[in-house]
Amino acid sequence: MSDLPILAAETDTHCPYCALQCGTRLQGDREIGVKVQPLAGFPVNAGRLCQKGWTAPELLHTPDRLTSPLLRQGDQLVPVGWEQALGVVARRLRTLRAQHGPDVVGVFGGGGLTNEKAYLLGKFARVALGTSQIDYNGRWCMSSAAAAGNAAFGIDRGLPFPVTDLQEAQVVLLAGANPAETMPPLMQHLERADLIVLDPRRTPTAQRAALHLQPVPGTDLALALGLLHAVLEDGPADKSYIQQRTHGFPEVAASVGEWWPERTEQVTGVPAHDIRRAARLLAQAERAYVLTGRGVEQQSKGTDTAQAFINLALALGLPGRPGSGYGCLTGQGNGQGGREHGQKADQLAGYRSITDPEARAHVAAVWGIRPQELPGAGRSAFEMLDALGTPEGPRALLVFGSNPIVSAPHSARIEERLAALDLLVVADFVLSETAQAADVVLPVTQWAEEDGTLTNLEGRVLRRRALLPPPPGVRSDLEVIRDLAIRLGQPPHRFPDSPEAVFDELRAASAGGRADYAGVTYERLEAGEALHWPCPAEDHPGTPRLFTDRFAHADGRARFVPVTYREAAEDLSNQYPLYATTGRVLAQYQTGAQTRRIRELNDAAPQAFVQVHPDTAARHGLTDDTPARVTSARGSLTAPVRTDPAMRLDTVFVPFHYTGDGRANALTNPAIDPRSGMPEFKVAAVRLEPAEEEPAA
Amino acid sequence: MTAPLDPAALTCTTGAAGVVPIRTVEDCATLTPKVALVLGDGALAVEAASALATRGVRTGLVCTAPRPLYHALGEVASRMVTAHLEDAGITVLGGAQPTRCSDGVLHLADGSDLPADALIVAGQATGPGEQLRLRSALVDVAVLGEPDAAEHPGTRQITLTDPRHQRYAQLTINDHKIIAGVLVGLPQAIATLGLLHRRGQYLPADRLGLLLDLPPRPCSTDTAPPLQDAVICLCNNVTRRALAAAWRSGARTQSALATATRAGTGCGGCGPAVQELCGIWADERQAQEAAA
Repeated sequence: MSDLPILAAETDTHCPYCALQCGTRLQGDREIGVKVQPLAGFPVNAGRLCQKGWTAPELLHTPDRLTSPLLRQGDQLVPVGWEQALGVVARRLRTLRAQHGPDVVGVFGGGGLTNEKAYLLGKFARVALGTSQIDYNGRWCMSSAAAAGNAAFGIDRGLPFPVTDLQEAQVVLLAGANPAETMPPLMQHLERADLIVLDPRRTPTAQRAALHLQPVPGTDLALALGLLHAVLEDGPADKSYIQQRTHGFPEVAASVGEWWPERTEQVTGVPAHDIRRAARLLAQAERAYVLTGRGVEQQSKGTDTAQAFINLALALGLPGRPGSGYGCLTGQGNGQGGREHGQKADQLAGYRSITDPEARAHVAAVWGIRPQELPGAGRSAFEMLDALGTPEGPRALLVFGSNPIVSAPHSARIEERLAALDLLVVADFVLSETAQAADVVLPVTQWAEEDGTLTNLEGRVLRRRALLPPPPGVRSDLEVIRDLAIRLGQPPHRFPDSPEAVFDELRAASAGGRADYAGVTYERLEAGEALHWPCPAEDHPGTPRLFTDRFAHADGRARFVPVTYREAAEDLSNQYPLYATTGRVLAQYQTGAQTRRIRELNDAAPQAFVQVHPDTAARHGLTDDTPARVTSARGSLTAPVRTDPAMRLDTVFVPFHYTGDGRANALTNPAIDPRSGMPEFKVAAVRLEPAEEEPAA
Repeated sequence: MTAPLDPAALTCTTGAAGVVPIRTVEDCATLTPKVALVLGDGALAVEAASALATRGVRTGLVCTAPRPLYHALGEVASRMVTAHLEDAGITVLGGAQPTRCSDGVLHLADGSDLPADALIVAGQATGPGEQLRLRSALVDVAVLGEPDAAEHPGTRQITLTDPRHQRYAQLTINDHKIIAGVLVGLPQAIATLGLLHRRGQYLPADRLGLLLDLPPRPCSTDTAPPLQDAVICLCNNVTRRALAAAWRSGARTQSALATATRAGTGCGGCGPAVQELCGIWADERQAQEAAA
């Protein structure tokens, strides 16, 4: 045995999970194991990490890691070689396309994919498959805030400022966001501010609030309108800002006229007194932020709700003012970059609109095709899944980095549609619930085995770096896409599989677009530059703060956009007398495909539960730990009761990370937001009852 | 019972200089008098007076009834509303009989003269049992349900009177649902009961907690987890037991405990609690050593 220390491999990268993308140093290898340390020098997490981040290396040696392609033979998924698997996929895609045309193939991406993968997937769909049918799970994440942000500011970047700016705020309104559980390291930037938290539940974030507003699920829009009314009652905070930097204030001011606090109270259940208090806190702060999260956005009126909060922020003169602003807290790891580079049905790289002739011409030129060869806009995520296997819809679906059987609303419907497909191909690194239903499963790399870039919630482009080589038999998503493209007749040079080469092409495709990455290079990122887009040239320093001089509309002004209150798509009834709302717990992430495989996390949060007020539980014959069935018009889940006296009497909460009997999306309503395509994850009418005990085995 | 104030009874005509009849509270949104007198007994008069006073106008409220909202709320509750308005600087004059106005002066039957830049006439009265949710930043007032609800068989009434904080509630309850109520000065209860009443939903068991907006109590059947199992760091699921074990193994500071257990490395919210535990354990050890 040598006395010399063995130098283990070491690399700086970022956590595989949420949009904070905490900086981490990984050390080790597959033999000795991999250790993680949070990076003190990365300002977003500044040395902090939550339990998910600390335990992420365990994912690298998960025992059920996929290391061979799988091919369905009857009820079984059987290991086969790559040649056979890709051969089958290409052959069946070619046959289907020949029979039914290019839109017979759908592509479903994810907000966890790197920028390179998202970009190449979008190109693959439009060029190699020629299909308009591509969308991604980010549609269920950021689409409402994105649509509202674009309307108001002419651009959509989650936070138009670095998160560290929040440290100087006096007041921060968190509307439908629970960062104390969903992104704990963010909380260090919110320690000084008085928090106003708007959430139907008394979450860990709400428990730290100076003021917690606890509305009826689905009434956040009314609350936003009421808050603006209350602000205007005392006179707009900043008349010169409204005059010089915005358009449309009078219409919006008039539109909130009938939302006086007592009327807002009658709709939302939030005391008029608290609405006035919140408005006063915001209006009197010199430095304040309004931040929205999925709670207010994942509704069939999520865009209008986000819009109403932006209107509030504009009336207070926050966006673009130093030390103040509006932002949305992006959810998935690459929820920001993932929505910018072309895996969204209506967008091309650089946040370009696929219906804009100039945008089409630019991207077609980079791709070496004619603009008329580019398909148009396709269906949004749920609409595409809902159409699968129908006469008008796709008959084949390729899924990358997503698990829609667990994450899509109305999961019974989605399972049925996926089963109706002629071909389901899933690329993943574990056998997710969706992969289990696939005809072909392709094993791909995970975070610490790959290079690439992600764009975090503050629009900063970050390098993901490989510590380990992929296990034998595993390929990168880029290699898979390239191989399939070639098998579908594409020239190899059109589909590079080196991350840097793909990124360089992405830079060219995004140049001049709203999300301009032209000046971001791997070299600059390696040199440690903090580059926030837009960064249009290699000598451009990037844009940490947007809107300081102008907004992105042609005239440089932000838009007030009037919105009107409407009820949730589904109201309570005698049959379904309670609201169900869904969300996350600290120790799990998204559909749990990753985190449910980590022992420590599963010990902390092993199964679904039904969180409910003890009186409501008792009224339905339930107490703590008894199994409850929650049923909506679409399906049921069964999970033990967890009473919480701080719950609203009319609301049950279920976390959405679980599958089987505990699958929250069995309940959720696929009613779609007309502006964004966002389903109504946050409000469903349900009933609650004791579940029958399992018969003894 | 005094008749509702009739603007026509004033010898000056509405439309005369300085006299403003209003139908909704918005009608006085653009008025900027230095001194305003609001004439009326009902909700509209209180709302107008509240709105003016909130904007910094010196405001008087002149009622023919003994007090504002006297007919709607009854003796006790209307007294509390009056106290709230007076606390906010409004001069309330009950049982007044305005006779005429001239040159910006309101003359009362008892011979007193009240000067004002604007006389705002809010004629409509609010009768007993009329549903009401007052628009006012100065006092929270709600009337729910039917006036004769208490007559129904099987109803119970709960009354809370808190003169010190000017809070009042009278709830009429049947089958664990609220069927009528009068509430003053209880903003959270008004919001919650208003919704429960409108939707016919059941009341929570803790009625007093609901009325007084007390922090939610654990149910009596709950058994608190053993102290040692309490999770101190939620972000990393670190229990007091785990921290104690690390402390005994030599991690004696907050940062040493963070290194040993990861406590405090997520949101950082448990930092003060971990610090406090360090102190407690150090004191305990010291006491033990002294005893030994």
